Amino acid sequence: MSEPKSGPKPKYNLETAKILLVEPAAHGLEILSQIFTGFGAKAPHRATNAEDAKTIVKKTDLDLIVCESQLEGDIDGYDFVKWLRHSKIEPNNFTTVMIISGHTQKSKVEKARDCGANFIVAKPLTPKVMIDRVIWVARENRSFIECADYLGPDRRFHSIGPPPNTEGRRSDDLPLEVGEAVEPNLSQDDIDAMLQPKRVQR
Amino acid sequence: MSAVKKIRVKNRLAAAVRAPGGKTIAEAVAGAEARLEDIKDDCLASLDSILASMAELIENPKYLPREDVLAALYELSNDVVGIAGVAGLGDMGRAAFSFCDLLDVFIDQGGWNAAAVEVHMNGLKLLRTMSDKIGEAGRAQILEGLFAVVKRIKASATPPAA
Repeated sequence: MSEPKSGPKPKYNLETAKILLVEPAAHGLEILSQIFTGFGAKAPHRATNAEDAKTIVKKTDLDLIVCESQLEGDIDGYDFVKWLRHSKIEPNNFTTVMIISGHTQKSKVEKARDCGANFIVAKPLTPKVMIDRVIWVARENRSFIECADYLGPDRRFHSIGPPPNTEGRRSDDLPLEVGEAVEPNLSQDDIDAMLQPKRVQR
Repeated sequence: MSAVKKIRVKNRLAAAVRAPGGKTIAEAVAGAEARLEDIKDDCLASLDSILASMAELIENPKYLPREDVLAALYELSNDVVGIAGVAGLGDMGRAAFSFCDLLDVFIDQGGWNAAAVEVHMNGLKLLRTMSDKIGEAGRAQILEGLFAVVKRIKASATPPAA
């Protein structure tokens, strides 16, 4: 993501953002902490396992959770996010979650896709990549989708209709094929009038 | 087919980052890079400690290819992926990623190849200790070799039964 070439550069404020960092390895947690503190975050919450992370989630309203995919114990990062989404602990069950992952095991690719995170960031983490992703997730306005096997941000990033050979399950799913026009085409003047509002005299 | 419910949610992070004050992207990146520079030596020490743990697992024949040891080795190698870049050893991180790829084949599909493991371990050690000396071309050559090994192992591995 690049900043505008001219004019004042936009600023992003993480000072008051309530952030939770979950990372099992001490050095990994330190790297994450330093990156976010460098961005301006004040004392982000830190946890090294899912149980500690859950305790913080139950006590504090969070704006952002950054969680490593591999955690110690029976609950990995994907399970933790799935728990969070189903926890009904508002507003944290809808909080933006970024999963960070080094190598992802082949057997866990589907789990990663379906856990309900907003974004998965591949390690190694660099400040540039992290700030770009943070701004990206801060700008997004995807709805949450709840169905039998998924609860989390809409995984359809683009409006390309329902999956191939299906009618779609959503009330606002439209068919990919466009039907015949039922009214005459708009003239160029009609289109201009919609795009260029003009001041009128009262 | 199950029903789908769409829920509009408030992006709390968006509200937080829009608060007055804050940093430009360039300032934020510079702030974080300065802090990471401060912990670079700690990261190098961590890498050495992880490499020592990996070598201990690999050099002990009674451990391999035990499932729990493969998992431990995979985790350690994944730790290297996360730290090496911060320590200024990006190519070492890529070698560790290749090692994770290799170990994932053994974990997922069974099998074991001591030579492939050894060549990865040697590559990691070399990229840790001789990175500057061998130069960019030398590092690229090492990585190319490691990627080729993993490609060959993947091609020869039997996919797990469905």
